Amino acid sequence: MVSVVYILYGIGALAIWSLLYRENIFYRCAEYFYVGFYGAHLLVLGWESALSIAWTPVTRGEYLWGGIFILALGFILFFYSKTRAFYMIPISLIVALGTALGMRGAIHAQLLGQIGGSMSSLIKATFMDSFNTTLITVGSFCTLSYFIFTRQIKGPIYVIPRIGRIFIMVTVGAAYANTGTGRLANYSGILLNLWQTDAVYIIPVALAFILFDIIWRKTKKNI
Amino acid sequence: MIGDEIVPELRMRDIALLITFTLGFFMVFEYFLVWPEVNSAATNFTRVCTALAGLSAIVGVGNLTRTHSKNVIRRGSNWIPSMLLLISLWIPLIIGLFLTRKDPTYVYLYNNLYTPVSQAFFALLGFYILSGAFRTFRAKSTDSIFLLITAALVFMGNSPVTGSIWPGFQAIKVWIMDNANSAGYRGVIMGVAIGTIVTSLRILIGRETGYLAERRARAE
Amino acid sequence: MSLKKISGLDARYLYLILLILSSIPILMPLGLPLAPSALTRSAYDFIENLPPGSVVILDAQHSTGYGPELGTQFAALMKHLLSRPLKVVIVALGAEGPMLVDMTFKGSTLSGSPINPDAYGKVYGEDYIFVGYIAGGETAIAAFARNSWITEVDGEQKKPLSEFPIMEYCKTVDDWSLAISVSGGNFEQMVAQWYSAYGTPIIFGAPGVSAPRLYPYIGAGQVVAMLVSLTGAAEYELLIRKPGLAASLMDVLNLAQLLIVASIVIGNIIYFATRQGGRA
Repeated sequence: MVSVVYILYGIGALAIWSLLYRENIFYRCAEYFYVGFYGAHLLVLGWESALSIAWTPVTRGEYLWGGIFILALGFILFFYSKTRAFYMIPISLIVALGTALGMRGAIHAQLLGQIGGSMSSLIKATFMDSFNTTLITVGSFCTLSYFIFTRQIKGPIYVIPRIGRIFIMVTVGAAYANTGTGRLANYSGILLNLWQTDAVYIIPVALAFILFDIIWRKTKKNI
Repeated sequence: MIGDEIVPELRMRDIALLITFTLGFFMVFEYFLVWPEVNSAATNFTRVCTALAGLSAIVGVGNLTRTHSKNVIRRGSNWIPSMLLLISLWIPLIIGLFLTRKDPTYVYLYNNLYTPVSQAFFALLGFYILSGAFRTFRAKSTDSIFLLITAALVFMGNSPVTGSIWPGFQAIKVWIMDNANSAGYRGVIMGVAIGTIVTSLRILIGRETGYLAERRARAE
Repeated sequence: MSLKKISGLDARYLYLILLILSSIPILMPLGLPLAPSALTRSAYDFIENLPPGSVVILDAQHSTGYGPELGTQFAALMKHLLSRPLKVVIVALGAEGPMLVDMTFKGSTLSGSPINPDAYGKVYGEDYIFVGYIAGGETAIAAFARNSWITEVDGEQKKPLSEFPIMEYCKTVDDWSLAISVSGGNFEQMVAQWYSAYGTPIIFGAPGVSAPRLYPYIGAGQVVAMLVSLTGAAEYELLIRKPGLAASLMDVLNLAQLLIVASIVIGNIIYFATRQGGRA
């Protein structure tokens, strides 16, 4: 008995991967399905979250006006284009908090934390540790100098942002490799399921479609 | 526009900017205060915004519906996928809102249709990384040589099997990630932090108003 | 076939080579060796050394798009936490978290075989609990730290949190001994809102694409340790002696990565050879 679950799995995965052959209607349908479902999922979960946070206390008799206020503000968002100006209120609340939290985090965790991490004694117990610490301190400073666009850096001190650029290239190379590892991990999971489950029956169907398309295009070219 | 002039001298935009300024700076300074009433008020404000954030997806759903229903009605390009989008948007939405996300139909759609499509989407990049590695990754300059060598060494280190060929691959990869990569990223993180602080200040004092989406409102 | 033609090879042939090559270990498992890295071991050791009764937050912030890369990490961490005498509070700070938590417990293509808490002697509401989803990204991260009861009801049974004994031990971030987040993003926000603000130790489960930018935080001591991608999950499965989906995918991943290295090398050899030929 063929499992419908894995047949659907195969159809979904191969519809997206058909883009590797060329753009086609199956891919577009799968892409639009993905966008639509994700939008629905965001709102379903968002509603569940808002309900538990804002409405549950109201049912206990607490925060009565707070709960109603929050839900009213939330519904104003729905009339985004009709009550055009009122939507700015809930958005400004969210932006105020998000901006404040982001700024606090940037100052404390990213700036001060990283400066502190870079400022340690360059003389360590072993040569390798000393070298590594020096490399990190010098590299961090040079990379940061690369982003200073106040004025163009010329002359002998140009070597500082140049060294920074080399560190950025190393960073990009490491990011490229790790991104590849990550995406290939994902790919591995799909491949395993395609081969080891009933989704394998979709592979010849997909190959048949591709073969048909190749022959059809060749025939069209010859006519 | 509706609600624009609550009081002739004061527009909704000004009220929104005032809210952003007041509450934003309140939350910034609250961080440094140990004052129970202020901390409690900040906690409640955070709670309000968390609930609102959940409901903000309404805007996205509305936009998607408006755009794609116009496409379907006019039989524009890709109207069939647009119709599929509207179906895949509203059917799960209705099921999820009225029967919750634990409803078997919702779970079935999520596990068996959405999950493989989502996973396959992200996996596409793996193929493009391969084609990029073969066709465009060229050692044309000093910078690209550093990039190439780092990428190759980290890939080798990420494959555990190379450790059995020569343990040095793993050690080199660990060294690159812990030291050279950290040095580069540390500078990037600090640069990004400075940018974040500047942009946040601009938003709080009202110099950046893009989040109010005014251009769209004026155009309508 | 001339070198120039090979260098301009249609990308689709490369995809076909990748598909064929990486299908070999699926049809004929190779059993390539794997040894835990220092980072993964640090994460394992930290959890192993937690005192009994410690409250551990396990955050599901990943998505189906990351597939088994993060799904297997979450499963391995869950198994380890359930096998220890700890109080595990599971929260979803990502929209897909609740569904993925369900999928982890019931078994799925993303996380491997099902996890049965009963087999570990754990009781829902006493030893572990799922408090539900909190929307808002950084706002949610900050809100959950200030008030771990913010969702008011649990995510499984929709009962008030006051009915669950475990929640008496977890009211705010001050009660947390460790926060583990398996996430595709928001790492800096968690460091800011949990570590910098309150000093909470953090372990991340990160995808390969995000891992490089987290090393500075580990070096600065702001993050305890990290599981990196599928390799980290496979190493963790080895450490907890429960090999699962991640370990079985490593053969495919190994070959695919080596193919990319070969592509870089061959591509550059052809480039230099055709350049020399052009000059001559």
